[in-house]
Amino acid sequence: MSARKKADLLRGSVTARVTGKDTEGFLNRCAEKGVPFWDVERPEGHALCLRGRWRDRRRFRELAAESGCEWEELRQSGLPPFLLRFRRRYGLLAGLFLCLLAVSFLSKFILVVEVEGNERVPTAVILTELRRQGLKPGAYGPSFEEREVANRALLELPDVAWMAVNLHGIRAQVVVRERVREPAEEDAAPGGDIVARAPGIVTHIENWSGDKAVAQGATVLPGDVLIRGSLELPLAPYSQKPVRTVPVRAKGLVEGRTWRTLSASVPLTGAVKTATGDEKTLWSLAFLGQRVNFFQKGRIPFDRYDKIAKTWNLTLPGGKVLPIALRRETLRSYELTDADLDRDAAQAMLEETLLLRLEALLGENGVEVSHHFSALEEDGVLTVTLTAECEEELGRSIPAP
Amino acid sequence: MERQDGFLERAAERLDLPAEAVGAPRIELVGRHQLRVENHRGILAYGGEEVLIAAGRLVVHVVGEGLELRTMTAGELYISGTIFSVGLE
Repeated sequence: MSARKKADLLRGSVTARVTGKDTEGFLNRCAEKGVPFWDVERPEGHALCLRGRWRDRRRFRELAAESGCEWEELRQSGLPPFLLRFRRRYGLLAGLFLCLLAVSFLSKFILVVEVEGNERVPTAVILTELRRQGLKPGAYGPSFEEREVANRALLELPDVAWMAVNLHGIRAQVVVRERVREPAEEDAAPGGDIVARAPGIVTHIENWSGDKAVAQGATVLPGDVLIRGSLELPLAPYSQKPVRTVPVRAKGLVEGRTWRTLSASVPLTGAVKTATGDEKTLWSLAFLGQRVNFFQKGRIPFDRYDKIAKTWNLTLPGGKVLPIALRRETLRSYELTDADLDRDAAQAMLEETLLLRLEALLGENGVEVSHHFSALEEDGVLTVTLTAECEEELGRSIPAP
Repeated sequence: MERQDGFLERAAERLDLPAEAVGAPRIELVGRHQLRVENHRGILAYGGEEVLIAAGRLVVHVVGEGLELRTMTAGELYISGTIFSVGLE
C-alpha cells in the first residue's frame, strides 16, 4: 500500500463530481485557498471528478458554490467516515468501550495459574497453598509480590525445595523444584525377630542375620518365630563360661506354602433406583472462583434424585483454561424399590472381589497355586468363601520387646 | 503585470539569480508521462487530451492522451498521462 493510500485511509477522503461551466475556476480557487485535491479526471464535458480530504468537504462545497459549480459527493472512504457511522449506534459504542475496558483492566488480573516442575507433590496441593497465600484466579497482578508469595508458600510445602512465581499478563507461571528425598534409614531398633504372618509350611529359609528358629518343612502358626533376633557368641574350647548371646536385628528370607480362606457376603434383595421421569435443570456460572446461580436454592422439588453435572470452561486457543465456566446440573428424580438380585451375577461379583483381596494380600512376591470357591445362601444373604493355596513370603519383622 | 514579470526575469538574469526565485514559471517534463509546473497562475482549460495552464505572460499548452491532474496547489501542479507536446503561447 502506497503512502498516499495509507494517508487516505487514516485521514479519510471524499470522491466528488463537480459540474459547472467554470470547473477550472473551481480548481484554481481550491489551489489558491490551500484546499488540497488530487486525481482529477474529466469524465464528460462540464464535469470533473476529484478526490480531496474528508474534512475539507464543507470548504469544497463553498468553493464550488463560489465558482458557480455543483458539488456532488460520490463516495467517502477511510477511517473517520467509517467511525462516524457508529455515532448513533450506542450498543456498538458500549461494546467497543467494554472491550477496551476488558483489555486494559481485566488484563491486570491473574486468570490462569500454571504449575510446572512437580512430580511427587500434587499440583492441587501447590495450588491450594498458593491460594492461601493469595495467588489465585482473580488476584490483582500489579500489587502482587511474587517473591514474597513464593517464600511463604515454600515454608508450608516441605517437599518443595525451590519455587518461583512469574507473572505473564493474565498468566501466573509457578516453577517448582522438589526436594530430593533422603534415603530411607534402616530400622535402627537394636533387636527383633522375624515371625510368621500366616499359618503354613516353611519351604525355604535363609538367615542373613540372627539364628534360624525353624527348619525347612516345619509347620508354623501366625506369630511363631522363624528367625531369632539373637546371636550366640562362640566360646573357646573347654570354656566353662555360660553361652553369651547378643541381640541382633533378624534378617532373612522365609518362604512358605499357605492356605488362605477369605469370605464375602451380599444380600440377595436390595433397593434399586427407578427413574420417575421428572427432571430439573439448573444453570450456574463460575467466574474467578465465585459461583453465580441462576436458580433459587431450596426449590428442588424431588426427595431423591441423581445429579448429573456438565461444565463448559472458557478455553483459549492453545488449551489454557480460563476461570470462567458455565455449569449445567441435571437433577433426575428416582424412587427406591426392592428388587431381587441375580444370584449368579452376585456370586460372580463376590468371587471377583475375593480374588482381588487375595492378590492384595499376597503382595508382589506371592503366588497363588490353586483356589476354589464355595457359596452358601442363608437368610437372603449369599456368602462366598475362597480357599486358596499360595506360595508367599512367610515372615515379617517385629521389633524386640 | 506582464511587464513586471518580464522586468523581474531580466533583472534576475542580470543579477545571475535563478528566474524561478522571482516568480518565473518552471516547467519540468520527466519522460513523456510526467509534467510538473511551478509558479503557475492557474488552469485555463482542462481535459483528458489538452490542458492549458496560465504561467504569467505565458500559457503552457499540454497536448496528450489520458491527461490527468494528479495534484495542484497554489504554486505547483503535476500532470500525468501520455504527453505528446508541450507548447508555450
